[in-house]
Amino acid sequence: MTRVFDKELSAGELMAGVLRGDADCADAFHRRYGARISKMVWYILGADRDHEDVMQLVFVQILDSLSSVTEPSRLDQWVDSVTFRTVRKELRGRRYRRQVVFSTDAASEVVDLRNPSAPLVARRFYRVLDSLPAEDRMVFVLKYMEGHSLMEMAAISGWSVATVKRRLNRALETFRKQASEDMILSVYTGDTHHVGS
Amino acid sequence: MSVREKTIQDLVNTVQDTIGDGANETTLDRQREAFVQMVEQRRGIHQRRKRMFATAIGVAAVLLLSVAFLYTGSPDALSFVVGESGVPGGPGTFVSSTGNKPTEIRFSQGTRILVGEDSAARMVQVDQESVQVELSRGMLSAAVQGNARTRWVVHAGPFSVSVLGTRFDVNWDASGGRLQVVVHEGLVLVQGGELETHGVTLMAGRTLTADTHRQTWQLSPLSEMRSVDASGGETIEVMPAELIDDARTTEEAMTEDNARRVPEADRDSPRRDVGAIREVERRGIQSDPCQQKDYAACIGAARDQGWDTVLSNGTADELWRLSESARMIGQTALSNEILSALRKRFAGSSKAKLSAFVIGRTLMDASGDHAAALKWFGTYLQESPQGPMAEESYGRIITSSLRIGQTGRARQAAQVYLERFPDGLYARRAQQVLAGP
Repeated sequence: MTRVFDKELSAGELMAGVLRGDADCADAFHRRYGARISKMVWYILGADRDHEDVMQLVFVQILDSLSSVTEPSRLDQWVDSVTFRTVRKELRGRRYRRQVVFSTDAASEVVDLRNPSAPLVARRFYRVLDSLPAEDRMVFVLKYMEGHSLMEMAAISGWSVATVKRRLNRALETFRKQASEDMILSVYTGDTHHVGS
Repeated sequence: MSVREKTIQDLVNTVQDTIGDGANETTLDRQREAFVQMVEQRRGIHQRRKRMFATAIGVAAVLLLSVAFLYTGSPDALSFVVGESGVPGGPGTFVSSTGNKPTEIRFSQGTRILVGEDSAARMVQVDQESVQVELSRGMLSAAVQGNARTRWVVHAGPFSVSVLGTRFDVNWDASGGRLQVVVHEGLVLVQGGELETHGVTLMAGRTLTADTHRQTWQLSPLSEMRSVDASGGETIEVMPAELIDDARTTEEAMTEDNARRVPEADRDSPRRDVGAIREVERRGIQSDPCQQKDYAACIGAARDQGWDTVLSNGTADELWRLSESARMIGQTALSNEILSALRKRFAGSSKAKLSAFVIGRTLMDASGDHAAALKWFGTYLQESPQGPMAEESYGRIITSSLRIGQTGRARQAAQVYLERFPDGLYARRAQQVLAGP
């Protein structure tokens, strides 16, 4: 079923509609933010098997706290923040689950590409991201995959610009170091510190 | 953008070209419909809530008045008696159990604490604000009736276990410096020792084992301990064999660095009831690439030796590590073949049972073969219904069933999951499945 509005609803109208349970507004809300959320989750998790579930969780969180939005004009940023927090929780939960439940598989790949035979570089890339703390990984993705500025990242994450900058630098440094030790990734980064065959 | 950043950006662009930019249109359409339904359902809930609101206010007022009356009208709200003869106790009372009979401490508001055999505890503080018990040695099992007012704390050596209302066991091996906390219901907060600054929150079904000598701690789904059931009588909780292995491997991973520094003799446990901490065999750690987690070399060595020889003669541990190595370097089919061989040769062993779960998980994660994965998760649950991966298995059954459109099966698994693991990691997902269309 496709619902089409004659005109694009304002953020305030969308919010009010969703909050009162209007199906058309819910449909419009998802059309406006679905792809945006999907992309951020996709990039951070890495074409992950749980992508759909995490997206679903984001929308549940949105519904739970939409009434707390006081400035409809900043709805876009608020949606990004909710997505950010939800994915962060997922990443931290994964680390916990691996440590607690089944530590022998602690280094298994998070990434589950749609195509199992996809180029190795993407797998290696996400394997390196897996080694970063959740927060560092997320600012790295926001910067290099989503193209956000420091200010935007600060607004999305709720951290100060200085904190974002510090985490980004740390992420970049760790990423480069790890990538340089990887035979495939070092070709891209230009570093060749790896040893062995 | 600096040259260094540009190289990273080039790499990122390559990755983006490979993985695309998110869910496809079909998925988004499906999710949109689900979202719309969610919104509509909430509208129904809000309308019902409005109707119930007026009634609830009246009921709440009556309840508040009743609770206030109970608190103010109960002069001996936190008195307690000890043992079968009901000897009244107070702050400073020392309770010791000798032989094989536990001693019960009964509080007037319903809380019961059993001091296990060969165990001793002292009541440090007993008032409306806080009840503090010091477990000098041995085992304590508590069923706390919380009132959201009194803070219950069990001190054991450098640790403290804080609760508001729950059922849990504490085992303190004073000589070995080992603490074990098992939570049966609710949540507890364990602090002190080498735990994180803010402590560790334990939910029902989880066990924390901390070792002050080795300065390590670990969490696991459940653990082996001799338990005194606070609801009456003595019971023995039997830990499935695979749990022991899981606890061991968890410990191995989390304490590897510390363990290497600790002499073997220092790691001997004098008590059988903290046997979940098993000694990690480290023979040949310097020479075995599998143990050193040099995955490619591990597989290479096995190949050189000949797969038939390895699969026919390897021990369960060796095959297990081999399969892990194969998995780590992306040879998932090989990994599953090794685990299948392990299951045949060591049928009934803990590792054989756990292999069923791992095979299922690999099929699900690496191959996306949800139908086959479901069979293996089912096999695991059949062989280890109370196993350490039971929760995860049910969770994955929910996910895989939905992926292949078996919503009935997903709902069935969600129902069982919520009954068994109401606070589990997949609880929210399970609730969504049950609430779904």
